[in-house]
Amino acid sequence: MKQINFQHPYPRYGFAAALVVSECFTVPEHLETWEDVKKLAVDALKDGLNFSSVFTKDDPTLEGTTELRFEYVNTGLNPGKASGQIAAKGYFLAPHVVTSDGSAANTVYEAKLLIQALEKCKSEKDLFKPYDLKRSFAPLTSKVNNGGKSAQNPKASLRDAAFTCIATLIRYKPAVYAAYQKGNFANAVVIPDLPLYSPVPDEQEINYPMLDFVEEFRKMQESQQGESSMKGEVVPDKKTFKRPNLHKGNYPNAPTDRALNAVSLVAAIAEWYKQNLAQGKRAEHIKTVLESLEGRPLYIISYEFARQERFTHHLLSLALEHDLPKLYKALWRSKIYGVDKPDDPKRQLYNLAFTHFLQFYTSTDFKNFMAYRAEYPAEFSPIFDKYFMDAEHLSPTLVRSARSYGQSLNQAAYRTASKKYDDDQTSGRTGLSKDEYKARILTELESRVLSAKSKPELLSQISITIGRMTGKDFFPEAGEFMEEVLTDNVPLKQAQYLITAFMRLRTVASTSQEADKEKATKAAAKV
Amino acid sequence: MDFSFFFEIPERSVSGLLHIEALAPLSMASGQPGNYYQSLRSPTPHMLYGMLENALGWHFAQDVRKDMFKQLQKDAKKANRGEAKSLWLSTQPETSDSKYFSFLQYHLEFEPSIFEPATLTYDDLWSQHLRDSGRSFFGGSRHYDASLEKTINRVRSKTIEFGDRTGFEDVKPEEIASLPDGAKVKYTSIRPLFPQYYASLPTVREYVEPIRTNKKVGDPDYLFRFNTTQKVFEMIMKALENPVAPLYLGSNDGWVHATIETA
Repeated sequence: MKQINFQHPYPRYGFAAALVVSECFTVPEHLETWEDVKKLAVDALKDGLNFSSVFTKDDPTLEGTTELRFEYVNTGLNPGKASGQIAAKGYFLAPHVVTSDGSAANTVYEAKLLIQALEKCKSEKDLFKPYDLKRSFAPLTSKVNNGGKSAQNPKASLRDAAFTCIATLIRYKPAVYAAYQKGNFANAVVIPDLPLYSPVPDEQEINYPMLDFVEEFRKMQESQQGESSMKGEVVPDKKTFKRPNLHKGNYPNAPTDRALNAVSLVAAIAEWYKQNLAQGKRAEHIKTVLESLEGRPLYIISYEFARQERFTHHLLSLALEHDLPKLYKALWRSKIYGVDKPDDPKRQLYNLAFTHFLQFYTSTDFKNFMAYRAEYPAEFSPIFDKYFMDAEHLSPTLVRSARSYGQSLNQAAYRTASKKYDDDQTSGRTGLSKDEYKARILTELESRVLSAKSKPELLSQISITIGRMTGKDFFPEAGEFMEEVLTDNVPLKQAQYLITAFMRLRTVASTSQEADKEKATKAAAKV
Repeated sequence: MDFSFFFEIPERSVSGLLHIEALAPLSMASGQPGNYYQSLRSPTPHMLYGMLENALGWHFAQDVRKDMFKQLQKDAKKANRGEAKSLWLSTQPETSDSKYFSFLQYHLEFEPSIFEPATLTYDDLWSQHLRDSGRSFFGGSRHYDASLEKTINRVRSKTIEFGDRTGFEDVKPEEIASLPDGAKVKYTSIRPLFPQYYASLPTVREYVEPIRTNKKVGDPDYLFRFNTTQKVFEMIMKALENPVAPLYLGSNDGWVHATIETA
């Protein structure tokens, strides 16, 4: 048979997923005839239908129910009011099915039609007959008008339509049920644009990048079995059916804020890699998959929208060297000045700037991220180290000295804020909270940093301000940074960014364990 | 336009190299159109044929093209009795997804390309010009004849209604200005006062830019080796030196510069 390939990444993913469902992990050996392809598609479609809907037998209205346990519907699947398979009765569309709640019944119907059409095939030609692509199983399509009298459904061969439907149904793809607009939720999935075949340089073998991705994703998903993903909590004062935790992300280490993007995917796969380091060959395989994704478009697809994202090798090394899921969790602990609510648009823009920065690590993305005045959690420290050293190629000594300098500024601000707060308390005044005082002080420092017109002015301004604030001479670490900055190699703008970035980092880590470690090292340094 | 090449036996003895330089981001649809157009990273043979025919000025509507091809095949069969069973004279031409087929496809063959340049991909918005006799043109175009202004105002204030179901009537053009309140008029009555095409809603579409670091202007992004007959070779050489229309690949804002190098 001619080597099977697909121009479009969507049916290509469906084909790779069908192979994984049939436990074939290399392409040519098992597909010798068109009947093999037909059987592959039919089996995968049936499997997809068996995992497209979840339901629970538990009743949230009963007193004793604290959690709902979910399973997949695999008999009598018929979403819709008529059969009672609706949200009000505890039936939900699984997050990996790329359709809408309203269109779920159509998706099931079309999948069944495709199975029938495939089973009716009597020759290879039948497999390539034109078939209408409907949005319920091909979410990237819609009726198109290309010179005709009215809009028509686009067509593809029956084979391609079948694998498109498989891609829509299959559970082996990163998925989430999240808001795409205020108050509107939809299923969204990630389909990477990986080739089916990729020759190994200098060798006769072939790699199957797309297949490897699906296979590793499945293994990663399966490692999560038995955990809370198929359970949903019942809120004590609102006893209604709720979706299980699966909908917050169907893979381990998914971010709890339901973000689905390049960063969350790379973070999860990198953690999966680290968990498997003990088994050398498995780990190598996972690393190959991770590296194959670098630079390739990752399509975030939903019934409501489609877009693409990419990431560079900086994100890869960040994910492999540090705990990226933990870092991403810390994102929500950044204190953006003037923003209190989590659904504030500025918070969403800040999060977006952060993910772009991590994806690309260019100076533009860095500047966009720095444009939001915020105080960063201590976990962000490696991000800046990596940016200044790997992307901007600054010397480690400069970066280290900048860090001490910035952190000292942060600590000075904290101490001054604490003192002000304590003064308020003792004199019975009602003033701002410690955090608010600190924010004001840091803002003042930042504006002095940014308004400086030359490096000497920059350093002297800060020294004067700190001296005035704390009543002390500047600290010893400042000397090294000042020397480094005053050499010609460091332009003013870069010095400003170095100071600002490290100044905004909170010095004490959020967990008490790390705080104790910090205290211990400080104590050791004093001795 | 010279179609005499079609009557020659397709002995593709002459080789050449087609150089293509992208002058704008390209968006070459890969199937699954409508909601989000993903793009191929390099053009397909059908797209290349389309580009060459564009240079030659062979712009024909689908039905005209079909009839022309039938006639050409018939006449070629008469001139080449011995070759009646060959693909060139007996089969239906291969079409692309959009039902386009090229007259050149038997006499010009592109070798499978082994080289795909590194590309940058991103999403952008794209609209089409579309024709419709139903209600799409009414809401889709903000340009219409000035004489309709008062009528449109009446539609906005809901005193008259346009539609295409039963109960809506055809009205003569002279009577449009003096319609009574509550009148229901068919869209077809005012169709001539709107432009032929309306713009579709902007749709998200993937664009592809071949990366050109270390390349100078004039260096090609894509290279395609092809085999053809002498006549066709000279024909396309001439056409590319002086193309009848701007050359593009994929969407028609994807302009390219194409030249041929003799192999």
